[in-house]
Amino acid sequence: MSNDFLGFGLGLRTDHFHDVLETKPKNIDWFEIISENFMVDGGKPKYYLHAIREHYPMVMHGVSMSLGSTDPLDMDYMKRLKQLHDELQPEWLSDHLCWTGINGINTHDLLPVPYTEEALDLMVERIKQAQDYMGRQILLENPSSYISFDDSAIPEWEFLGALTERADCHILFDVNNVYVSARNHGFDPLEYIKKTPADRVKQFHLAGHTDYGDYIIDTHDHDVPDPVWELYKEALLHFGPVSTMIERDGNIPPFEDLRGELQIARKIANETLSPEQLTPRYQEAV
Amino acid sequence: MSDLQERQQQLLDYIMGKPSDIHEHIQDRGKVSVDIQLHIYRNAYQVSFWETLDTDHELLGKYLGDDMFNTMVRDYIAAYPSTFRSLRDFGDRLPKFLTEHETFSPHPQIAEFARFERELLVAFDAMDADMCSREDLTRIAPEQWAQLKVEFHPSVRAFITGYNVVDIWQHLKADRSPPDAIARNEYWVLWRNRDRLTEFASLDGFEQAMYETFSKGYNLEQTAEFLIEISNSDPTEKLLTTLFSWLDRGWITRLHAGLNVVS
Ligand SMILES: [Fe+2]
Repeated sequence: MSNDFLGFGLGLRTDHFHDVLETKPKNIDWFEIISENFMVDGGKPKYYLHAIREHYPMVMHGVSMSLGSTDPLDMDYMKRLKQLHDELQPEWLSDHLCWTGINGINTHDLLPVPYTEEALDLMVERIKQAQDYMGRQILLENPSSYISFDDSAIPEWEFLGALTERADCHILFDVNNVYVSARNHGFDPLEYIKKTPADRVKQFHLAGHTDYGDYIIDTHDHDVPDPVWELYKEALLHFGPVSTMIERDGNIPPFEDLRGELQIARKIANETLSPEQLTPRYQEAV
Repeated sequence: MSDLQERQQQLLDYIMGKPSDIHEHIQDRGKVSVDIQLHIYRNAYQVSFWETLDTDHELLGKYLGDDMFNTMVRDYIAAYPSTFRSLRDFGDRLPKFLTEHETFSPHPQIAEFARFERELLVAFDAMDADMCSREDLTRIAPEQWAQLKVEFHPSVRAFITGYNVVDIWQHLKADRSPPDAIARNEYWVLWRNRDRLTEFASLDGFEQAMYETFSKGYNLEQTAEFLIEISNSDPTEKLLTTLFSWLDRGWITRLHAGLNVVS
């Protein structure tokens, strides 16, 4: 079995391009990029992207595949994504269990899908289509959400599990999203973890959110809070060593600070799993 | 229409501020009303576009002031919802919208200002390509110079406007109070420099004519003939000085002289 554990990474953000290239820190094992941010012809961001890629493994994370939409798959988008994929040769690529629009409109938001048999069938077909086109398996991320549809007959974890089995794809398990949705919808986050098929989980997201008491919004503009770290530990116990990264999209702190925050994840993993389990793929090769 | 399609249409309509029955299909969780739950999505829709335009058109925001900018964003979102894969492109129709909107169209410099900022963004993201230097030009044998044609770097573009919007933009950029809008014809070229930063320069009549003639694919001899007509003097020296300045700035990606191509 191949070792998919990349170690501990960060989301690559414009604010940090220069710092990453200047310092090339060794305590960051890999970077995740937002694919859409680099679907441009050229210029400075692309220059940095390729320069940084020379020094780090990367994964691509997309927000526009809209796999839960009833529109046909946007093949212009898929083509552009494949171009970037072929240029960058990432370890893998991911998108979300969501839809972003219909009738050609893009809300640029990750909208929830009603968890019904109809949506499941549709998404299975679309994921297969996307994987065929990309020529590889993709990772699907569990969303954070603020509404539940009356139609939803299946718990989200069952829907996600069935989807990944039937479409034969992987899971990007966002620990913060599970926490946010558990609070918003009143389910048990541990049940979510326990019912998610461990052999499908290939990547973790960690992030912060904004807690309004009665509900939480997934803002990615705070440090990872304690309850999410606790859940991360539970996730490690259930899923084993999984490539872990922190997403930060707003109120972005200095690069140093994010590196520091990532070491918390490393520390928790070291306390939870054995050193053999935590040998990253590219460290083995050395 | 399938159930899923119907639900998606209802939620999208709601998010976009249109009449919708989506409320009837959302679970009431007690603690937080369905209205509040749904409003999170409608709000996020507005905010993400507002942030995009605020980032891409920071100085337009400064020029208009908060109230006018907010009106612009709100009405633009409603008039031109995104059909783009990336938020980067969301403002592409903003200049057009500003010429159509009743508040903004009486002040045509506003649309021109937005168009200038869009062109800067296009230059920033344009395709990468080599940039020729003075040395590349001097490597071409003098007898071939008459046949010389130039190919501009993909980021190089002309911005031709009927208003002093670049001057206004520069004042706002430097945190100075902007001059009044004046209707006057101006010719600028925008490009991405060797450090991958966007720059722009104003072109006089001679340089404009030279830029346009080369852009259309004429060679150096033909360009010189045209420049003699408009300047009534020997243009050679100015033509060469200008060509060297273009090379220094990284405007030229290829020099074609007969069968020789230098890039
Ligand atoms: Fe995430």
